[in-house]
Amino acid sequence: MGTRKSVAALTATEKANFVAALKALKAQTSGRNYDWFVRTHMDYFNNVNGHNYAHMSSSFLPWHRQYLLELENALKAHNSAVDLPYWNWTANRSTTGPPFTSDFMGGNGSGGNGPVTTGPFAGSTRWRINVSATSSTSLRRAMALRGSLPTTSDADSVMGVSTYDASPWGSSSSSGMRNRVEGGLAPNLHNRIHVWVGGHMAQIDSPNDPVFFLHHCNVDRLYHLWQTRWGFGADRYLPGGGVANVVDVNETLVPFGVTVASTLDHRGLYTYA
Amino acid sequence: MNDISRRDVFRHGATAALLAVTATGIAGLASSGAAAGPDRVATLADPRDFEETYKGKKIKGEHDKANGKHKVHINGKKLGVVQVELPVAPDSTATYTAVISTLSHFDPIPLDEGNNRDGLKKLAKLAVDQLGEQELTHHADHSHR
Repeated sequence: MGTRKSVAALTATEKANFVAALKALKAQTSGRNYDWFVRTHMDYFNNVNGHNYAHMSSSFLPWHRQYLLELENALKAHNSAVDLPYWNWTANRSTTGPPFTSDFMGGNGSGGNGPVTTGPFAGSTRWRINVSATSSTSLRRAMALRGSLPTTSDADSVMGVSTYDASPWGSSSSSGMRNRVEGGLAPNLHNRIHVWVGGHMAQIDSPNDPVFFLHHCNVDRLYHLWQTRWGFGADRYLPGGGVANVVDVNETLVPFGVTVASTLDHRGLYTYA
Repeated sequence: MNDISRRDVFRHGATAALLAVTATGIAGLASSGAAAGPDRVATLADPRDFEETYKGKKIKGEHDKANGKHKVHINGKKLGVVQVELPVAPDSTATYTAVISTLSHFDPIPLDEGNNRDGLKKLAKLAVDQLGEQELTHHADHSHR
């Protein structure tokens, strides 16, 4: 069973192993390589088979949990010692501190809104952008130009909401935990991070920036903390069933082929330090 | 997605649009004597539409009041835009309309016919700001909703 650690607690070897595994997955020429994950995330921004699986829906958290697990397993195929780390943006809030150090994710974009110039993902020869809504082949960031980072108080307030989600189970749900995490409802823990990092992270092809996975790992950690408080059982997920065009607890998460229910108790697969 | 509130918004919006188009069409017919028909109604532009140059890039926006399927082009390339409904406050059934794009999927910009009538233009300008020296690719027209 893997243990997912904070980016601030990683050793130099753990950081090097994670970066090397990402680059090996990027270079992989068969199977699900890194760009497959970028394309899949783009495809599931859209409504598929009448369902919003990945975004603006109840299944936002389980879909991304499985998406991260698939990536983590793909990285482990290159180095079994690698576990996905998380970026706790309530604690690590600097544009130059973890994870934005030169030995890990690298720093901001040139001129505050351009290509990343430091670290292992700077420049198209080190990390080439192949699938994107914009023409740059180099990773770009525009940190802190827009958006803001949530505070500990913001996260705590969401953890206190006992109901998972509420009708109409989408962007306009005005109560429940899920939309407060995703961002349709204040304090908006997820969307604002994409905006704050900017560059590719703000776009439909946001997984082009490896920081995407560290951010979503933290979102999954918060979901884990919520489940620790309120329960890991299938009865905690809503809707429970019978809601057309919404992913109910026993429906399959496409394209992964697992049900929402099967993703809820992850403790046999990984835990958080 | 908020099918119920979106449906309501679209229904009321479509009704208002039909009334406005009908009134305009009748006025136009009375003044010009031209024959009215579906083609004439379809060519009526939304007063919020725009076409201008911003930071060296040509931005063009066409509103679709009836269906919310707005169009934005930057230097002739299509930017995917989606209209969404968001809650005005916790525990409120009221929603407001906003637009997001494939370049700003996590950053909704309010759009209406009042104080936020320039929401689509703000979205286009934000996209240009983000692009800098870049251009859109065909992936910018990716479906997302």
